[in-house]
Amino acid sequence: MHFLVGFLLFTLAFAGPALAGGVVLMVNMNYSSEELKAAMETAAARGQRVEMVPPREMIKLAEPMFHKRDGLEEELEQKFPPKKSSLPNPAKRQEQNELFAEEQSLRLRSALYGIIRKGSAWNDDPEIANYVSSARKNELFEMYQKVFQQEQKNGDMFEQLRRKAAELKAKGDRVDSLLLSSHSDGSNLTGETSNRLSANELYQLKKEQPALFDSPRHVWLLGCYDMTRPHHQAWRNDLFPNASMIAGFGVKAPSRFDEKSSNYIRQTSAIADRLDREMAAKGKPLDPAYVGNLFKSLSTFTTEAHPGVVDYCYSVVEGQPGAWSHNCEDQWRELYATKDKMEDYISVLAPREDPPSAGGGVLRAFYNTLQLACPAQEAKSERDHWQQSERLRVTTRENVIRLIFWWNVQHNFSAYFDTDILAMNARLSKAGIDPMPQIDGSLSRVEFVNTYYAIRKRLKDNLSLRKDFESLYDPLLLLKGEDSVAAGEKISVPETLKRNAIPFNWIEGTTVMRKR
Amino acid sequence: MRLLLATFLLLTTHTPLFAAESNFQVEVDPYVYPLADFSQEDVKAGIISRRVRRPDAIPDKSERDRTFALVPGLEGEIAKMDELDRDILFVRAKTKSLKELTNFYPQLAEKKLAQLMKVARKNNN
Repeated sequence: MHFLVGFLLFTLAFAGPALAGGVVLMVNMNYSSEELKAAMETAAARGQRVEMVPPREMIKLAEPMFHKRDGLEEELEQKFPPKKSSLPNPAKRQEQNELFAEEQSLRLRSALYGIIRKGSAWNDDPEIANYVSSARKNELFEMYQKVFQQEQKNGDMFEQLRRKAAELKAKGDRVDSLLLSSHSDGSNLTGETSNRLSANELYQLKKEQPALFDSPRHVWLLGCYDMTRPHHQAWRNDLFPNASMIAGFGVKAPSRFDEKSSNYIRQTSAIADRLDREMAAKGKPLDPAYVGNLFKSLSTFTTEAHPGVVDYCYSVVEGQPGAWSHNCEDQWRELYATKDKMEDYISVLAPREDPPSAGGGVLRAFYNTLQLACPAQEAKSERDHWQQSERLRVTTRENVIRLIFWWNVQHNFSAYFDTDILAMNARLSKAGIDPMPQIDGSLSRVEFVNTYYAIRKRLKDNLSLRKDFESLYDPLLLLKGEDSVAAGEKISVPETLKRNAIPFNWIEGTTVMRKR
Repeated sequence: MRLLLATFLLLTTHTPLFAAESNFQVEVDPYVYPLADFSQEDVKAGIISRRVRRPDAIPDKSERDRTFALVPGLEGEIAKMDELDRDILFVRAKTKSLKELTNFYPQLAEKKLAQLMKVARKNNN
């Protein structure tokens, strides 16, 4: 059924002659000349041209620096190998050796980045600092500085992409294929220099430049984790609903210096072009088994180390079992790791980020991760406390959905508590305390939380006012949801608020209730 | 781990003034923890009130997908929706009127929405 939907979207978006023409846009955040070469070959075979962001000239500046850095890293690995364990038990010995290897890798990496950032002035690890001559350190430092300075001039990735999208639109160029080459945690893209493109920026860009996301027939996501299930779902459903093919990798993507990466672009583009033509000629969806077999015949698709994952018209093909859908334990591990990363948004004590104003961005991706994780009972790591794990899922999803719709929730809060807010402001003013900024649907959550604690602190000697202040604002502070109530307890808006929870329908964009 | 479970699911109240025979009151969910484990001289153990699902509770994925599957052809029409959008559709189907639903989802057939409302409300877990 998904396949049919994919076909319908595809035919609507790319009917007939639209399969020809257009440009290939490559977002090349690590300046890979090999991947660019593969994109150019793909484009040439279709009679298209390649546009690159950042500017193509950056490759000449950055790639020699990366090679120099990686050469030094290899040399340091030889010169400073990890310690060897002397434990008698072979299993424990192996475990300790792995730990030593990881520690040493971190040490060398830290040294490299120290050298890149400070040159000969870096001396945090004297043993390594003494080994690398000042001239070499300064050479690497200067190369990095040149790249960094040019990146400053280029502007951030978001601005560059916004400019490029506007430029293509002005020329009447349709983006036929899009390559996103970078490191990734599944939704946020990073380069090895200062290039960054967050999920929130991508959602913002989609809002401002929808054609950039709606027009590509083929999309390559070349970073790690992008095509694991929850992330893939966000890319597919929220960002590229019309693409016939979204191709990438599961957990681990190959290095841009590994020829597998560029060959993957060449091979998958050839198959996708062929399938698009066949589908357009037949005028109906293709057999998913046929599509799967074609991708599985590609040498770059089924490797053990970096299995590919392709979504062709909403039908997912895995290069190796589990490449797309993690095993249960990994899903929970990812859920916890992502939850930690969301703390800047979720925290009720000191949030540092406001919920994205459009689409939900990373919070939405996190919500999808939460809901897609397998039942906790099926994960070995969760089995002995699965009720707690499921409880965590329930309370977190109720909380996160209210956070995603923070702007609607506060609007509905202000509509409902209009009189109470005015009365509270008057009481605070009388007590010589600045009131809460206006809650009208546009108040930053970071500002709201900070002001809440500042006011509460000033009310430490006025317990009656403090109690009323807390009982008014605590539901908005905590953004809790109730999934259940004790039998016999009322389910009404006042009762829900009394229990410091926010009614579910306050996430709606319209005013759902009159003032109380 | 058992201690963690207890911390998580129990409500404990210290009542030194009025409870001469028991210094602590404990409420236990018997499905999670045996009541007998708390039967001590200074502990008054009771059963935590039964919980009932709110109609606007966000569903578990399996519950939601089972419900959607009962509406023929719906899955194809919502293929573009991610987990968040599907959950919202589910809760709205349980809590909104058909008129409101059709306003929210003009792209979905009214007949399917009506059917969804019916099955979602019937299978109220």
